[in-house]
Amino acid sequence: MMLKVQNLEVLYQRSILGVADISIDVPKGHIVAIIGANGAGKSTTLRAISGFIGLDDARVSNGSILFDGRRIENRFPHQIAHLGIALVPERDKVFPNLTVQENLEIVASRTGHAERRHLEASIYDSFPRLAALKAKLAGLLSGGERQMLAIGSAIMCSPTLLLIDELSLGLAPVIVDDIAERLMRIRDELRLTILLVEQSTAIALRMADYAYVFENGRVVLSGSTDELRNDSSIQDAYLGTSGGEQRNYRHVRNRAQGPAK
Amino acid sequence: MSDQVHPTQLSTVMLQPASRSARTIFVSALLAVAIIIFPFFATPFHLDVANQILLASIGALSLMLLTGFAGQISLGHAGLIAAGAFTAGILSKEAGAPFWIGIPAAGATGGLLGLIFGLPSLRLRGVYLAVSTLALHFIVVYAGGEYENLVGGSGGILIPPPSLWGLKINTGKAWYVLLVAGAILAFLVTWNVVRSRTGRAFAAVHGRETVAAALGINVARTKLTAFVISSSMTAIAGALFAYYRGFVSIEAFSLYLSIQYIAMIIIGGIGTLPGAFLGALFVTLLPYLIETVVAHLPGAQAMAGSIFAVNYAAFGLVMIVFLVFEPSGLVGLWRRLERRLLIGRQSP
Amino acid sequence: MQIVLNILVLGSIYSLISCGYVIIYKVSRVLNLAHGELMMVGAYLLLTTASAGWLGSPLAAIGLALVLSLTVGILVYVLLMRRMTGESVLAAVLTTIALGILIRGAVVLLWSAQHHYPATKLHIANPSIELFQNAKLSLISLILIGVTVATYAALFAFMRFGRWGLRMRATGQNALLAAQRGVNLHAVYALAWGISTFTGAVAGMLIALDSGLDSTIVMIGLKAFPAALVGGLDSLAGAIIGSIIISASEVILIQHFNPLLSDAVPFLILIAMLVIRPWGLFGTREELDRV
Ligand SMILES: Nc1ncnc2c1ncn2[C@@H]1O[C@H](COP(=O)(O)OP(=O)(O)OP(=O)(O)O)[C@@H](O)[C@H]1O
Ligand SMILES: [Mg+2]
Repeated sequence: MMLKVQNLEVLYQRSILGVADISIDVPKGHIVAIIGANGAGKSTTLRAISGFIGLDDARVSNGSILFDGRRIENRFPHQIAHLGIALVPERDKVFPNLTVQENLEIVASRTGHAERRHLEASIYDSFPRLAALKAKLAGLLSGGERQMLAIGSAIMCSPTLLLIDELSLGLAPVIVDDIAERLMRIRDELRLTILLVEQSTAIALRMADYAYVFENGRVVLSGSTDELRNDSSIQDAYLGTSGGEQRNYRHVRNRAQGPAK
Repeated sequence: MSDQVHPTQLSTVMLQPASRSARTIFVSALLAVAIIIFPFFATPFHLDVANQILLASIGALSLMLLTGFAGQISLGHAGLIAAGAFTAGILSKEAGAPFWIGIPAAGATGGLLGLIFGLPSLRLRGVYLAVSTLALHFIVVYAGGEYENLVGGSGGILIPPPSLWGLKINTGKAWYVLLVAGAILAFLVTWNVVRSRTGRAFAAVHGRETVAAALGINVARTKLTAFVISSSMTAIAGALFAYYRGFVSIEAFSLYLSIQYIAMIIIGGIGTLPGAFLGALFVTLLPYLIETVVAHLPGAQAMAGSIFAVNYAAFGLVMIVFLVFEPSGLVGLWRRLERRLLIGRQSP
Repeated sequence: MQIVLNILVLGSIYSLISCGYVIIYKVSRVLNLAHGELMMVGAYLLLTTASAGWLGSPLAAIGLALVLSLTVGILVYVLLMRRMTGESVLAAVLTTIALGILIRGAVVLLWSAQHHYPATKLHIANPSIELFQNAKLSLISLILIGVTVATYAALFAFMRFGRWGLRMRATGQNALLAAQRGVNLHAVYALAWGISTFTGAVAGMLIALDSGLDSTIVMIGLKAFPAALVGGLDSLAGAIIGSIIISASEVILIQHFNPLLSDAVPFLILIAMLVIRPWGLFGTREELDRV
């Protein structure tokens, strides 16, 4: 297992519960999605994996995070980045007062110069839009361009595991499809493993092999995307295909286990 | 970034209730007895030190109200003390005004200056606010120096000892009685403010301004109120200081004095009223403590010539130690010890 | 003409000092009110290396003192300020204030409160040079202006093109994101403290060489702070402009009105700025909401 999160509990400001008890597994080479309502703890989980800094005033207070068999909870973000985990954050995902090019250059990568050039080239290759905007300040980019740049700068870290928080947030469906498609191409090229948080269940189920559903800081349901696509409770809650029924996963909770090893 | 909560701020919320227990009453009674019998045993030197502590307590209480409760940092405390001292001094010198005029006049001057000091707080927060109070400090000090220059180069104003109801207050004991009364009064005022609607508004503004505004609190008025009440009290402390010394000179009101008051509320414990007293006690006693150590420590005599430097260094060090290791101050330390003792007793 | 030269010299002094406030603030949002004291430490370090006979040349003494100052700045971060990152703005500022007081005491204990002349110790002559008719400048003041220009040129180039300069800019904008992109924040902050103390020490040393050294030098450091704020606490270019404004008003007011104003003028201007445009001439407006 590439990433193994076990019974994760995160506290903000020593008292506010961010997530209560999260266990997820991400096998190498797969795309795993996390879905759930606002405030369910999706971002908190990704940020716990990628590391908090003092200003967050947050810490993993229970449980463990294993990356390639190594415990990484409560380490500095830069150490985690150097291990090969890169995050595309939900908000504030680029440096607004740096140019597009500088946003890629800032990365203190774990690889040599040649590898950097290669990565940079393949990013500009995959997102030609960015190549045209090299000298523009990132703060002036559109939402879609910003998302591309954020993905690009995460990839500059030369990760093996890519964490993406809300790929589709605030983007037009056409743009999302476009970015997703390009992302998948880069993923194949670099053989990335991806852990994806999505508001849009449709996109999550389309992109991922396996998905977890979070509610109130816990995993309430998980399964392969094929299973989930046919699950009526998912349909009710997230795809809106049948009536506005209250979400209730109790009857399926016994199915909440990790994906096949 | 603005939503970060330092432990010193949390303590405001956590330590307020839970008083009025039997233990508190016992401690207060003990304290009252100690305060009453103290002058019968004290030497004039000890009385002088006690009086300094009481004066500092009043100033510390007012800064505690502003910074500890309303969360508005001020580096201009010395400027306000100077303003009070000079108001009393100038009124006494130029108009022969008595004590009972000098004190309220100082309070009024302080209130007015508080309004001015507080105006930037409507727009500025955090570091920027601190800086604006720092600037005002220098301006007040400049005005004081200008006045001293005007009235003659010697610098300083002599003030005759005050009298109240025909009694001349010119002995250590008389001052002790007056200052104990003053400190108790200051405590009651701050205590009442903190527990009142205004005090709750302070706490709300301290926490998050946007939230406070959403709760229907007039943030601007709350901030200005905090500045005015606190500055008025500070200036009165300054006037008392001037009367007590019988002399005012701008030299006494350096930035260092502001820092000492900030140190008092940090060392005592931000957001607690007993903390103001503990901090005043600690900061006032520290130089005497150091002097004793330097006098008795073999080899340390060499430093006797630059005792002020030892004071500075020690003082900076103590402040750092508290900021880094015990941000909730002596009160926090006390509470922790107490809890540990209680737990120890519960599990025999 | 003399008055222009005076403004230029004082403006250079303030510029050289105020860039230290800006660097630390820009990178970490910490207002370092111990900057004046750290500058003083630099000057006193020169006094010590100047007394060390084995160094031979004055340049070696200055060089060693500069290296030591850089180390002091880094140590201040590593040993003290590192613990305050992530704490409230208030706690960090108060810590620097406490540090300043500690340094003031320690300097007197280590080097005595006397007025020292490092220039005589180093056998550096400081002749007056007549640049224009009736307008003189001491040699060291002239060097000071040159050094200020060189320092700013180096700083601009470093921040613009240097790899660590880029990291510093990025960290100032979004520390968390920088960390997630592999930047070691502690290294960046330590570097900022090092550079800031270094440039401050350069200023302190030149002031001490020009007019001697005692602990009143910290007041110059404190007056450079309004210069930084007037220009905009997060703008290096602003620091220069702010310094010129402050020094010009100071020099002119002192000459034509009242010498006592000297200590108050920078703060009067600061108040005016805080009322009109609190984020400074060149600062970014968002700064106000971040603190
Ligand atoms: N910095 C913070 N301080 C305190 N509490 C926080 C902080 N960030 C998140 N929380 C709390 O942690 C819980 C989980 O939040 P999180 O951001 O992880 O949710 P999410 O699933 O990503 O939601 P969304 O879909 O809206 O992005 C929420 O209750 C939130 O209020
Ligand atoms: Mg989220």
